[in-house]
Amino acid sequence: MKRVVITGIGTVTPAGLGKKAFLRALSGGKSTIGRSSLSLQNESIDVAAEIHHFDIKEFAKRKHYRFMDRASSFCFVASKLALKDAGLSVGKLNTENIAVCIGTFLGSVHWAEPQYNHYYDNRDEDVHRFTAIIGYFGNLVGNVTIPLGIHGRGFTVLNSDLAGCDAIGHGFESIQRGKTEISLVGGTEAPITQAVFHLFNRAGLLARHAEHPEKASRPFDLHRSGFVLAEGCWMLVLESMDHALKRDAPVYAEIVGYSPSCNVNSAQAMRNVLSTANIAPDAVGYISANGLATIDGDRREARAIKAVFGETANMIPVSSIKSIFGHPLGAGGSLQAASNALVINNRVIPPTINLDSPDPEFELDFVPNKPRQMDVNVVLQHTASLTGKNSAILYRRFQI
Amino acid sequence: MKSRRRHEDEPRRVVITGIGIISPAGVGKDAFWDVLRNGRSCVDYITRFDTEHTNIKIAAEIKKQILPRYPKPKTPRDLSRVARYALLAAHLALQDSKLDLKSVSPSRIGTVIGTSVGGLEDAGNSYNRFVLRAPKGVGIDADFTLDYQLSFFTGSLVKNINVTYGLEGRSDLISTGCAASADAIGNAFENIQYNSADIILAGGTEAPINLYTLKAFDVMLALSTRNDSPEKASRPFDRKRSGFVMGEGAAILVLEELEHAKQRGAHIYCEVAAYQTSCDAYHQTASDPKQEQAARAIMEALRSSDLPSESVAYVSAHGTSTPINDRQETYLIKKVFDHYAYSLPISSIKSMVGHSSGAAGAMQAVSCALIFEYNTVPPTINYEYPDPECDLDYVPNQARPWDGSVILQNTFGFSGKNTALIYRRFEN
Repeated sequence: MKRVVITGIGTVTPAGLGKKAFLRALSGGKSTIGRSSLSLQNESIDVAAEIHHFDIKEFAKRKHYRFMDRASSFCFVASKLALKDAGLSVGKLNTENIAVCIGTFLGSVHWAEPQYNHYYDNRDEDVHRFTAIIGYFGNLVGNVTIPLGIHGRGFTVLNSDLAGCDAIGHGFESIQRGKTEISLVGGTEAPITQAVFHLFNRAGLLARHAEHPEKASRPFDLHRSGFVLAEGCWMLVLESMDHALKRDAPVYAEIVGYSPSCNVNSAQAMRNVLSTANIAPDAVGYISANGLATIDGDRREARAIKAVFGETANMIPVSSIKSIFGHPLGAGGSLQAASNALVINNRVIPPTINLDSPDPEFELDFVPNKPRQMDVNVVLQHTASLTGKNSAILYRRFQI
Repeated sequence: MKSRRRHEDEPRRVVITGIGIISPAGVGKDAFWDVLRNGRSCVDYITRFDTEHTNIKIAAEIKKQILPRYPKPKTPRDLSRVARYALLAAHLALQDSKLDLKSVSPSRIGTVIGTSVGGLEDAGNSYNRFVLRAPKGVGIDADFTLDYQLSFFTGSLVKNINVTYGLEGRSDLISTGCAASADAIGNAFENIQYNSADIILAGGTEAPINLYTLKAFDVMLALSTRNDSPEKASRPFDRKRSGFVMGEGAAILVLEELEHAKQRGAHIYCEVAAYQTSCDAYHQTASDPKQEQAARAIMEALRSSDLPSESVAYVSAHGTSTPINDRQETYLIKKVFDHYAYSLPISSIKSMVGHSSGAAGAMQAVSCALIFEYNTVPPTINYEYPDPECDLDYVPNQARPWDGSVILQNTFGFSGKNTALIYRRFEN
């Protein structure tokens, strides 16, 4: 099995474009959540983490952007940023040796919804001439491989909330197994639409602290009440260790394990990833929690952490950056991954903000409200889906 | 300990031990093979909605009356059509494999499904019903559960199967458009090869026969409008081909690690020998006329299984029946096989069951597995007027006895996705 390292990070987030803006929000513990630009008079909540002033025309050619919906646009830009951050220029690489794996929950919904609206409400006979292209999920990959000229493996992962995390897992395994040298992986989501808002709100899943948007996402807090919809894209460049060393690339961290599980017991994925990577639980220096801020989800997760780590669970810092960025659905796992690479590299753990009254049931160290300087050598990422599936990724400080 | 190390370094062998399919031919592999063996068209006038004002009036539909009521999902009250197809195909596949689920660790068995648009039809309907026509100011609805709304999206496709059968292992829902289910099979194959699972239900599902989706393809002029004779409309490689005919359904295969299959005395249809996939990086709707990456996928697949190209004895073609695809695929086969291409039987089952988009690759896979079973290759029907640019042996109109041992499956998707799968007659 080949070893796999992270050498590039590209982000398009409500905090701005690029790694620096992302890092500022992360380690500053600054919420990116505000009032939604949608008119949501009929909803009981109107907050979201949105990206403003983003225009794909500034980044792509017309012949490419005309096939891009919003999620694709984010992904194209984040992919470019990630490659640049890694110091890679696709033209100089073996383009057949690069895999592209992108996770998304809702894909092109932001583009499709007005189309539906047009079609079903106005009873218009016509559909947009690119419906069959922009409307299908595989388009996300085409919108990266075609403009960038990548010829390797490519596919879209649709594992709902886990999509971004599992896409990273696939890219990781693809290198491990010697199928590719480089994997461009991550998740993208642009779910801020009236229908998506309505569906999640009607199912009682969205946060309800509307007076102060920046306080709305409160994982592990006693007054948590649901998640805040968010958009964005987080892409990583994964590389085989040999490839990275040969070109002397700076390495953020090594990925040493990935484990998905369809067992509703959240502990399963975390246990598996530790055992397959042969790393003892007490080596874990930080847990990047799913921390969705739903009543049950956070409880399940806290219990799972205690089940895996036993009596020492409260010695390990655990934080949920969804407190800062909200929940970008299928991109959630890649949001965590980008953060985790930076945690190891920059030696700062991002806080769980809005943790004003910690739920006494949990008794864990959630790194409340303030970032913490710390040398973390092993990070365990836990990502859970609303439908009861879990995945875990394990990161380690890179040493040859 | 020694055998364990071998597992980690050397890929394990993977075989097909079960088939489940619901297609325009009907429910199950026998109905499917009957249509393929006898070269019958499943294309007919659309009955599901009124086509009076549409250009497209034909499709390969799954007729409502043939749908059985089993299995009962342990999931929401209303499964979307695409999820119902998938669940039924999974049920049939498990039944066919005679696998005793109690004898397998749940964490070692999973589901990998490919789809192009998933529950698009139902997403559109639910959007219409719940959002556009929702009463104003509606509150939280106890009935409107997460499961219920997710059933309109794609994420539920795999979950329905896993929850119903208690599978907890490696599972994914992936999309690469029309290549999706071929990639799902490839994905499952590699996960078993590299010891991430012992058994995976792999395949695809699609339910694209609705007005919105048909219009979406019609505006691209991709569909055949041969409305006067539906059974003649899908005619891959024929000079008078004029576009593809929409099909639908789900096909799921049980992929199993060889030793596991042998230990339980499973019936082995064939071995999955290789998988490779590539991207043209050329254009969203057109594939690279040079077919370089498509050829690379096939050649690397052959190389990885140590098979010379002359060992391939049949090609299951993507063969959509669009003017460009069939010409380019012919070019591709010549590019890879050179002179040998002319003595290689090639056929497209889409001539009979239509193009089921994300499920098409898995239907090809089912066809390939059954070819080994019955030693017969299915024909390309409606082959009447030879096209000088498509001058290979497409097994015209009549099935043919066959005793080869290696099959290549070509499956392509939009954005220039090329996927090659290679199957080998099982030998110990």
